[in-house]
Amino acid sequence: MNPAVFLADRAARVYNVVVQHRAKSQATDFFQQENINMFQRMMLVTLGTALTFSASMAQAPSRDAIKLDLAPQTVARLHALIRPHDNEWRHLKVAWLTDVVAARKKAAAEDKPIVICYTGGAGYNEPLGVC
Amino acid sequence: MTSSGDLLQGSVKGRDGLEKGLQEVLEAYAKLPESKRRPKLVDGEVKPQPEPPTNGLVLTIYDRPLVRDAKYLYRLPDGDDFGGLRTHAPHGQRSSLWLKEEEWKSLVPRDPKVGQVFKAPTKLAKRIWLYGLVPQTLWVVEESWRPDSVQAGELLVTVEAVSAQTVRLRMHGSVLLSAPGVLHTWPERKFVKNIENRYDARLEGVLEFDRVKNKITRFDVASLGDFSGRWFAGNKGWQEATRAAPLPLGFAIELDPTAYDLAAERRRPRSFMHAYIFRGQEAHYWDPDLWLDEWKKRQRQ
Repeated sequence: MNPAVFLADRAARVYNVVVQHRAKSQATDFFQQENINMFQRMMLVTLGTALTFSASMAQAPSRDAIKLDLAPQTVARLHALIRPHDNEWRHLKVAWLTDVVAARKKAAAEDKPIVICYTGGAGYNEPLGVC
Repeated sequence: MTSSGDLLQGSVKGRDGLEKGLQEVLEAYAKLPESKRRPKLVDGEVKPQPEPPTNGLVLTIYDRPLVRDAKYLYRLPDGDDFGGLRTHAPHGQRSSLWLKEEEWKSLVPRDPKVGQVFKAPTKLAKRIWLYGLVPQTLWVVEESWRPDSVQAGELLVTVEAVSAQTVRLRMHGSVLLSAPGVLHTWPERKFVKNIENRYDARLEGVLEFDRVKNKITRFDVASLGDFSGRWFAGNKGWQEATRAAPLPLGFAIELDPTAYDLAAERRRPRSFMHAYIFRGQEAHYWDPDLWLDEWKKRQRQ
């Protein structure tokens, strides 16, 4: 058995014993119950510490790991969230020419000016892609 | 600008000022003599963007950070998210990945059976991870993964449905990417410290293969995971996302349906990885193992 799983199992068993004890005694304070001896308390703390240490050593993904939220049931919504929404990247609705000389020839033939879409910096949202 | 190269003036004031600015340009253009508007000769040579591989596949890839709320639901950053900081490309960045015919065909079994599971070829998986999962929204072309960045990962394909017309495939897997990075101030670029850029993610999605047309008609795959490392917050400069407080980072991969239909002069340029990182090293774009081998050789020198 995986050490982390083993320790988790033991900790759960001790915890169950404690909870059952508590239910029987109807005590209000977990650690003040007379029926829970010092050994059980020490075991719980020790196993809890060991469990934490073991889990961190194994670097098992915690249940909070972002990646665990991507599943067949969630992928469509996440995909739609990440890709551009209707109000984003609207300049891509224009059928751009990606060659300047071709644009100039077309403009001369059609007697039209040229709009150049250029966003300075590191190519943010460039129709031509990231520079 | 005119076809003869003269700049035309128009001013854009405010978010909704583009229409008025363009109208000013049109008015300035109309005042020009015909010799300026319609030169008899437009010099220069048309040099279209390179053509994607024959019978290949062009994937479009968007990336951006997300926010997970207390109910484990995701949304775009807003308000005080990330300490009020934002990436400089609020709508995410767009990139692409070219696949050769043999690569996409390796994802479609010759005799598909529902429930069949197989591994995507390692080389293809590496290309998707190293060249596709590049967070340009965070890195703004100052970083890229290294040839040895794949620390772990697998990419599986499961046959989900088969009909006479279509094969539906599920692509799923995970990857852990890591590369050293440097945190520096901005814009002074003073060294702050060395850090690790790291992306620990899952991939999940659906591919559809049209058996009659013999082509992939759908390639909707997402990647989601923890990103730690440096990221650019525009005028607020470079920031560090720590392992304790990583950024949820998502990629959306989809088919570019127009890539093979566009006229040459409208062709979309290749990705930053392809056109810039691998300029003069085209073979490395197609073979990440070759990229790694040659990188190791350089490391030893």
